[in-house]
Amino acid sequence: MHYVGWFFVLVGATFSFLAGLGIFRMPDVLNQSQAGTKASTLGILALLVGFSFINPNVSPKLILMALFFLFSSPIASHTICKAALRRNKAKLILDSNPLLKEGEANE
Amino acid sequence: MNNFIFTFLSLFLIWSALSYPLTNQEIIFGLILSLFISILTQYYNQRSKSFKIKSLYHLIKYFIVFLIELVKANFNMARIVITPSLPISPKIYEVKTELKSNIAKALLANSITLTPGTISVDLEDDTIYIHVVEGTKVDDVEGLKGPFEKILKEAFE
Repeated sequence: MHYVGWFFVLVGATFSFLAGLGIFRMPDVLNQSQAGTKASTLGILALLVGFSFINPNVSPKLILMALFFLFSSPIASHTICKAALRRNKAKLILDSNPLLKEGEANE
Repeated sequence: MNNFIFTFLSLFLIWSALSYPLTNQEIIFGLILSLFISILTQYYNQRSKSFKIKSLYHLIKYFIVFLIELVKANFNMARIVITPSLPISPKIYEVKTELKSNIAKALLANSITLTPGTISVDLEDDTIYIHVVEGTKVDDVEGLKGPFEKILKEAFE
């Protein structure tokens, strides 16, 4: 039981590390948040699963935490991306920025 | 009445998860509290649509598909991050959705964010703006929504 738990903790740590690496390597806000949200979601889920294997007494609380995290993390990244696009902070390799209306200058 | 039972059960489940290992005292207190709160909120529940058992089944199906897609997305992202040349070609696509209710739209946007290589940037009426990391690989824009729209449509409509 303990070994299964530590295995999951290892997987979670690896994915969290990859999330950090992704944030470091990606060129602009949108891509950074892509890496950050995805890898860190699975990383934290795996960590929580691992902990609940190690100490089964707290597993219901950990499940609640996991559910909350599953719903809140995409919303956070969604809001960050929207704000970045609205303020035109994303260094986009795009044809145009669909969220800016005509007349608002593309810097 | 259906909504009342649903509120009561979910409140009690959350209570017992929070105060696990349960003693008798905690079970009784939780039952009283959830009954009290569900009576208080009954007025608001009457205005919303009543909850069906069938949509619970679809929601569970949605959750399983969602977990599989999440794992796939993570391996995809890990591959991109590790590759030394950083193979990205970001693009933003507009996709129309047929879903009507707000909860369904929010869930669809959430699941798009957690599926491989896509992130939902903005949601206006029925248009979702999707940012894709590997823009050159997309050949079917409707396919970006994945299998979720069908399942959510069955669950909420």
